[in-house]
Amino acid sequence: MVPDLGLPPGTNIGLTDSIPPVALVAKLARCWYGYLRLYLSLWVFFCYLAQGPACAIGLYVLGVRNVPALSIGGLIAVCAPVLLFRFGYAALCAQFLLLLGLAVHLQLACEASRRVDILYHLPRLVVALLVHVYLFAMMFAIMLASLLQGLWRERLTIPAALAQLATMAVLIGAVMWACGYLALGPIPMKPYGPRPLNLAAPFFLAPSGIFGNARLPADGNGEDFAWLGSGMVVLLIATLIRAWRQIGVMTRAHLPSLIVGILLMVFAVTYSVRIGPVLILGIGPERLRQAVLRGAEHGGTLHTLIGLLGPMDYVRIGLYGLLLAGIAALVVLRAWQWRRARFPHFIGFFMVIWVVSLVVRPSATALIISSFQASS
Amino acid sequence: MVYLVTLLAIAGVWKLYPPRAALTLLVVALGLQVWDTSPLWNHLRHDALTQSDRLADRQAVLAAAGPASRVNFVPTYLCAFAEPMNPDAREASLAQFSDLRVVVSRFVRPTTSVHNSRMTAADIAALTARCDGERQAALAQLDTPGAMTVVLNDAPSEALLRAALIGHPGCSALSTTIMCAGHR
Repeated sequence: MVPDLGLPPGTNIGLTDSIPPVALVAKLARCWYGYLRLYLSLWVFFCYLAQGPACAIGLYVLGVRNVPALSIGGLIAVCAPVLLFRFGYAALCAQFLLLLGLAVHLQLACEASRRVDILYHLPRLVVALLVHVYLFAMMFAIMLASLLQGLWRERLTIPAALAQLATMAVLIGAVMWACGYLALGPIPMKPYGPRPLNLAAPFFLAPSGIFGNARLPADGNGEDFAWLGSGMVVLLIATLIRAWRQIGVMTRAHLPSLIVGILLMVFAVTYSVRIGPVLILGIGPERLRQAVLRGAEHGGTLHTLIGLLGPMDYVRIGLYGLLLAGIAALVVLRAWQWRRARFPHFIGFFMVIWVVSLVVRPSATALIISSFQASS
Repeated sequence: MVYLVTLLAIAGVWKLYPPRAALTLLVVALGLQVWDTSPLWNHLRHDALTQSDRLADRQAVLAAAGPASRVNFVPTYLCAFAEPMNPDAREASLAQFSDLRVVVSRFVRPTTSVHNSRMTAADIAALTARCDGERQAALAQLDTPGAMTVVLNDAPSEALLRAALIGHPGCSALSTTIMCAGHR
């Protein structure tokens, strides 16, 4: 988009942390205010400012109508450790987008919603794509949860779902093309997976003022930081004490959304699952690293990777695939048992497309997994 | 998931408890949350207060970048990852590099170095070979009219280059870089 900047081939503007939409505003403002070098600081300030109202909107959708409660809820969201921990990383401070996306999802998933229109997610998906691909991946998962929930409750027909997905694909594809997302250059992609996500991270007390640990432990992995905060833990416990009898009913009603969440966690853990030092599922990080690095010169990452794998690797990959497929199959079976026909039909349709894409262009699957895994 | 839990827990408390008790719980939770996140707020405050204007050679860089038509960094942002340094030193070097890029960015000149969060180096050997080529390309432009070349002091791989540039016409040693301006 800005050739004179001398971007190396393969660079895409969505990953330069320049927040293109805000950069554009700053560039326009340059006519009046001169060089607006502080635009990233203003963006971060805006992100913190928007976090509270975005949370309040989500709470409003969930039926909270009391202004003090909405205000306190918003303030709690501003004090979310996952937001504060990202200070300095301007693009990933835009977590208000996730709260807005969840608000839309909860609105579409609520009992009163007669018709599910997932196109409501489109503006946030485009904005997220222009802020950071990690946020886009998370927003995409929220949109997917809305779509599956709509099919599950039979408030969305399969043709309508496909038409809306196609519309989104065209518009998002155009933005990706304009930003250089589709121009893959020789830059080696970063191999993901060596840093496993800690599934206990929301309850991992660090850093915490109450528990007296001001920093992450020396061996701690900042990428898996997800501490809820003591206040949130108190609220969670208080809610569970009163609502534990309703969990079964809620699980049944929101099974697709729940499964999307669980799949994201399983997918985000790593492609390398170990027990102690023993690799039990997936691929060893070193193998993938070598494949990614040699791939550019030796016929592509997947081609190189296949040459590096031994029989035990295939067993471990198969087991990991079975774990993911098993979770998906569980939902489809439940849908079948509970006579939710649209849902399994839709899943089946996309499974066919995926198998065809694997045959025609297997690297597309590898690329999507590589790009999205760390974002989950 | 964290934010979904956040929304459900706050809304759950409001719906499941009498209003007065729910508000009390929310206020207590907010207090705990503020207390608990105090190390993060302190970190945020510290970062916000110390990150501005820390480049030692700011004026000299600005003076040289203004009339330049392009700015070549040696090493580039990506190549800085290939430098044989310990992680803390690399972090400090990259922070200084970012400051340099921010300072020259106001002139909207072509540069050889763009930050890209996914372009972190994984294959140091391949990257080093590529960086050698980029260094040669930058050197070839050293005396090109309008070209400004900035060689970072923190980059061990560039030690020989820095020594060679000290006496080169148009080059000057600053506290953090060797800066060369091609004659127009």
